[in-house]
Amino acid sequence: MSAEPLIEKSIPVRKLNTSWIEAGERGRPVLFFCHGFPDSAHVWDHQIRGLQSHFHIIAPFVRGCENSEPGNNVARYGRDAIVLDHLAILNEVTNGDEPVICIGHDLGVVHAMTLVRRLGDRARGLVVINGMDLEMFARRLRDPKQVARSWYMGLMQLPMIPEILANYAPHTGAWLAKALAGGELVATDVIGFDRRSVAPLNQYRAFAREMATIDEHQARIRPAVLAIWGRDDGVLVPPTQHEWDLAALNVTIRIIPGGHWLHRDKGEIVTGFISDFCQACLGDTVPEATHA
Amino acid sequence: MLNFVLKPLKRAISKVDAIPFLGALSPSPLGPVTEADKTGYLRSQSLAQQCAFEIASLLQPGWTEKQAARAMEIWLRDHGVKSFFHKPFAWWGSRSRFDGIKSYKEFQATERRLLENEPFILDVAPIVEGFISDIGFSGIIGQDPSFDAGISFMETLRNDIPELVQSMSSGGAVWKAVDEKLKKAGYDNIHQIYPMGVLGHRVYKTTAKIDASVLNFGWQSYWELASRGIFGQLLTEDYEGKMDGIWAIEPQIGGLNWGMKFEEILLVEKGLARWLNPDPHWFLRRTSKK
Repeated sequence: MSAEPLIEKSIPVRKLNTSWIEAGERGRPVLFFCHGFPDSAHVWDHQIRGLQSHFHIIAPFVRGCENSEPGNNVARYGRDAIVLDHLAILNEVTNGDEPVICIGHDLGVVHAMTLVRRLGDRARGLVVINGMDLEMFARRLRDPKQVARSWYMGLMQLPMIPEILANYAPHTGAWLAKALAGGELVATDVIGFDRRSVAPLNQYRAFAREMATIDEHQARIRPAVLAIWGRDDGVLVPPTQHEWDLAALNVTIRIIPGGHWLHRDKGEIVTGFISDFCQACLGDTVPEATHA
Repeated sequence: MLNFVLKPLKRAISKVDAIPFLGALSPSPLGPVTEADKTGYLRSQSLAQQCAFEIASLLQPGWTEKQAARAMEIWLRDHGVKSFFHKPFAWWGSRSRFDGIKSYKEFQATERRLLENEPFILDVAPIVEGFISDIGFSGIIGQDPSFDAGISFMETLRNDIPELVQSMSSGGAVWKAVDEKLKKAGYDNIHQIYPMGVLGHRVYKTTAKIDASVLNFGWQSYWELASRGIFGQLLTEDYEGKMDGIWAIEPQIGGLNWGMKFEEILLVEKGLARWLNPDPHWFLRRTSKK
C-alpha cells in the first residue's frame, strides 16, 4: 500500500466549503465512504489505500469536520441536508453514470443509507460497519437496554454541555469514546471528543429531530447490503437478520471479534470484506481482481 | 370537489376588492413598483428557479415527492430563505396532472416514487429579503415525445401571454383565451383544478419575517389574500379588475399521463406586460446520467 499523503479536495456546496478525500482514477466504479462520530474521513485510510488502485474513492468530511465548514443551523447536519452535500460532490467528480457503492460507519451509516436511497439505479451496494439508519435505530429504542446503552445521545441533546465538555474537558470525551467502543481501539487512532468534534456533534441533535418524523415503513433498500459488525461494540450490539430484513432486500451479516472502530482495529479484514463484496456487486465493471 | 364548494362563493363576492379592516392592517402596503422592487423580485425568482433546476438535476428515479420537496426547502433555507409564501410542492407522473386529487390535502407531496421517463413538476414560493416569488418547473428523466411537444406548446404560450394581457379587456378574458389555446392544442386545463381555478395570483413585498405555515402555505399568503380581498388577488375566469401590478402566472397543461407547468413573475405596468426574467430555466430534460 502506498504511504503517500491522501489528496483532499473541496468545493462550495450551498454556500459552505465542503471537503473530501479523493483517490483512484475518475471514471471507475465509485466507493463512497461516510465516516462516523467522533471521526474524520482519515478513519478510512486503510481502506482507501487498499482499494484505490481499482476504484474511484470519495471519502467526504462530514459537515463541520476539518475543512468542511460548520453549518449555521442544526438542520444542516441532518441526513436530508448532508445527502445533498454528498450528491453535489458526486456531481462534481463523476460523469453521472458510474456505479456507486456506499460504505458507512457509525453515524456515517445514516448518511450512506440515505445516499443509496437517493442514487436510484446507480447504487449497486451498501456496506455498513457498526451502524444503522434512523428507522432501524428507532425500532431498537423500544428496548430499554438499548436506551441505556445510548445514554450519551441524550447528553448530546443538551444545549452547551457537550460543547463545554469538548472544549474544556476533552479527556472526558476521549475516555468515553474508548470505553464505549470496546475492542482494540488505540486512543491516538481516533480523532477524539475534543474541540474538533464540536460542530459534527450537531448530527445527534439533527437526527433526534428527524427521528420525530420518520417513516418506519419506507421502502427497503434494493442493492445488496453487507453488514460488518464488531462483536464487542459497547453501544450497538450485533443486529439480527430479521432486523436488517426490515430495511433491505438482500443482506449479508458478518460478525467478527472487535469493537466499534472495526475498520481500524481489523483494517485488513474489513478491507478484504469490502473488496470481495464490491467484486460481487460490480462483476465485470471492476478492472481486475481486487484483494487488499 | 374543492372548487364545487368554492366557485359559487367566488362568484358571490368576486367584486369585493378588500376587506377594509384587514386591509388597514396589511403588512405590506401597496405602492408603485420601483426599480429596486423589480430587482428584489427578480433576485427572489432567480433563486427559486436555481433551486428547482439544481434539485431537478439531482433527481433520480426512486426519489419520493416528499424527498424532493424537502430537498428544495433545505436548499433554499441554506441560501438564506427564512419563510415561504408556500413551501415546495412536487408532483410526479399522473399526479402532475392532478389525477385523483380531490381535496386540498392531496396536493401535498407524497411518498409516490419517480419513475424513469415520467414527467414531474416542482413548485415553490420563497420570500427573499421580503420579496415573494413563485415558480413552477417541469422536467423528465428519460424520454417522452409527448412531453417534448408539451414543452414546445408551453414555450409558444409563454410568448403569447404578455400580448394577451395587453390586448384583452379583463383578466378573466385572459384566463379564457389561455384555456381556449391549450384545449385547441389538445391539452387539458389543469390550473382550473387549483383552489379557485387560478391561472395566476398577485405577489407582494412583505416585511413579515416570521416563519409559520399551515397546509404548506406561509401565514403571509393567507394574510395577504385576506387583507387585500381574496378575489382581487387571483387571476380566475371571473376576474374583472385591472391587471396592473406583479403577478405569478402559472398555466398548467395535462397530457395523457402527465402535467406540465411554468410559473414566473409577469410585470404589468400601465397596461404593458412583460416577463420579469426574459429567459428563465423552467424545464429540464435529462437522462439519469448527469
